[in-house]
Amino acid sequence: MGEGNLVVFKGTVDGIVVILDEKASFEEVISYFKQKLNESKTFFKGSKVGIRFKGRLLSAQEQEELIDILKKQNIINVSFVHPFENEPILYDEKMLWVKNELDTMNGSLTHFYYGIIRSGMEIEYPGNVIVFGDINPGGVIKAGGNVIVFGVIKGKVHSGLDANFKKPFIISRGMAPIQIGIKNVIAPCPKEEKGISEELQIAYLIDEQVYVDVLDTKSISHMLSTNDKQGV
Amino acid sequence: MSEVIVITSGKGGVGKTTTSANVGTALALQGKSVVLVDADIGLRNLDVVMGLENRIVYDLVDVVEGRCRLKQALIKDKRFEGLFLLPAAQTRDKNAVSPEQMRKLCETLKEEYDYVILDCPAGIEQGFQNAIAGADRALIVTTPEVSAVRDADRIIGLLEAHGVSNMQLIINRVRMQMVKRGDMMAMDDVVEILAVDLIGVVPDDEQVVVTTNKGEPASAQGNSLAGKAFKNIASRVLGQDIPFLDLNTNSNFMGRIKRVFGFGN
Repeated sequence: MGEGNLVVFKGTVDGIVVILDEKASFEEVISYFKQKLNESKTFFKGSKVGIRFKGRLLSAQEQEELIDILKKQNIINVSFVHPFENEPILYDEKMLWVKNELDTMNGSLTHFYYGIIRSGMEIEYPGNVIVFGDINPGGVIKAGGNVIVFGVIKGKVHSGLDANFKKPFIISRGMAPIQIGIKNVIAPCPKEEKGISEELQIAYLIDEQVYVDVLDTKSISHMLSTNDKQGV
Repeated sequence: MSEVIVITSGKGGVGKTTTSANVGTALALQGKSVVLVDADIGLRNLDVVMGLENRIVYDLVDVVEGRCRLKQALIKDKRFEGLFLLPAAQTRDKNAVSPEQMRKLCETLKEEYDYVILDCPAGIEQGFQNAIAGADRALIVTTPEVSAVRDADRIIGLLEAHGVSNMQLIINRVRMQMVKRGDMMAMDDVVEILAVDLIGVVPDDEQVVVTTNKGEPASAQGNSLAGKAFKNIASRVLGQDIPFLDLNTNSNFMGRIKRVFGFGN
C-alpha cells in the first residue's frame, strides 16, 4: 500500500472490512483511520454495519484503542465488530510472483493427471487440467480453465467454468466425447464427426457455438478473432 | 510365492463364476494347490458350478465368525487333486463380513495354498470391497459389449484406487463370426479402451452352458474350445508364454491383440 493509503475501507456482504497497513507505525494508522472516518461521514451516515479489521497483527492494547475510537465516534453505527485476526497475512517473498500471476490472470494453476480417467472418476479443478491418457466413457473433467488431453476424449469434458478465463479451450488427440462443455455451453458431439485423428484437435467457443478444428495457427486465430479481446 | 487372485467384472452375468471355476480347476490340473473362495455371500453360485453344493456344511461366514475352523469349511474336490472350495453363506448378506476379516482370511489361506481364487460378486458395494481387500492380482472379466466394458473400466479405476495394480483382462463370450461381420466389438477395441494387458479370450461356447449345469468345469474336459481357452489362461497365470487360441479369424489377429494401448500402469 502506498503512503497515502494506510487504511482502506472495503464494503462486503457482511459489513465493512477495514484493511490496516502493516508496515506503518500504529499511531500513523490510527490517525489516518480517524481522518478517513471523518471524510466518509456522509457516506456512512445512519447505516448499521459490522466491522472487520484486517491487514496487520494487533496487540490487545491496540485492539482496545481501535474499539475505543469506534465507541467515541458517531459516524458509523457499528452493530458488530468481528474478532481480530491473530495471524498477519504474510506473503512468502518467493511465492509473491504466484500471487501476482493469479491476480492478473496472466498465469493459472494447472493440475496434472498421469493415467486414464476411467468411468466413475471425476477431476474438478479451478485451474487448468492436463491429462496424460484417455478420458474413457463415464469419466468427467470439470476445469475452471483450459483442458489439454494427450489422449482421446470419450467421456465428458467441461472447460472454462471460471468466467475469468476469457478464451477457454479443450485440446486432445481425438474428440469422441459424450458431451463437451465450454463456459455455459454444453454440446453433444455429433455422431458423424466422432473420430480419432492423429492430429491434435481443439474445441473452442464462438458466439455460444462450440467449434472443433484441427489445431493449427488458422484455428487458433479463429478462436481469438471474436470481439472479446481481453486476453486469453 | 502364493497369490490371491480376485475374479471381478462389475457387471453381472459376464462369467465371473464360470471363469473362477474353470481357471481354478485348470490350475489344480497343473499340479497347484488351489482354494476357490466364493465371496458372493447371499447369492452363492460357485458351489453349484463346481457341483459341490451337496457337501456344504460350514461356510465362509461361519469361519469368519468363529463357529468352525477353516479346515472344516473347506470342501475338497475329489475329482481334482489339490482343489478346495470355501463356499459362501446363503442365508446372510454381504455385510456379514468386513474387508479386514477377508484380508485376514486370505493371509491364512495363502500360507497353505498356492493360489487363492476369489469369486467376486457383481457391483461395487460391500461385497466388492470385501473381495478385493486381500487380493494381489485381479482378473477382470468382460464381454465384448459396451455396457460390460464400461463397468470393467469403472472396476479397473476402483482397483487402482485400492492399490491393486496387477490386473489382467479376460474377454469372455466372444463370437468370432459376429466380430468379423462388425456386429460385435473387436478384441483390440476393448483392449484399447481399458488399457489393461489381455490374458485370455474365451469364445462363446455352448459346451460351457452344458458343463456348468452339470457341475463339471469345462477346463477339465479336453474337447471344448472354451475349456482350452480357460486352460491357457491358467497357464498364463502361472507365467507361461502361451499363444492365443486361433478363434477362426484372420492370421494377424495375434499381432493386433498384442498391440496393447500404451497408457497402462
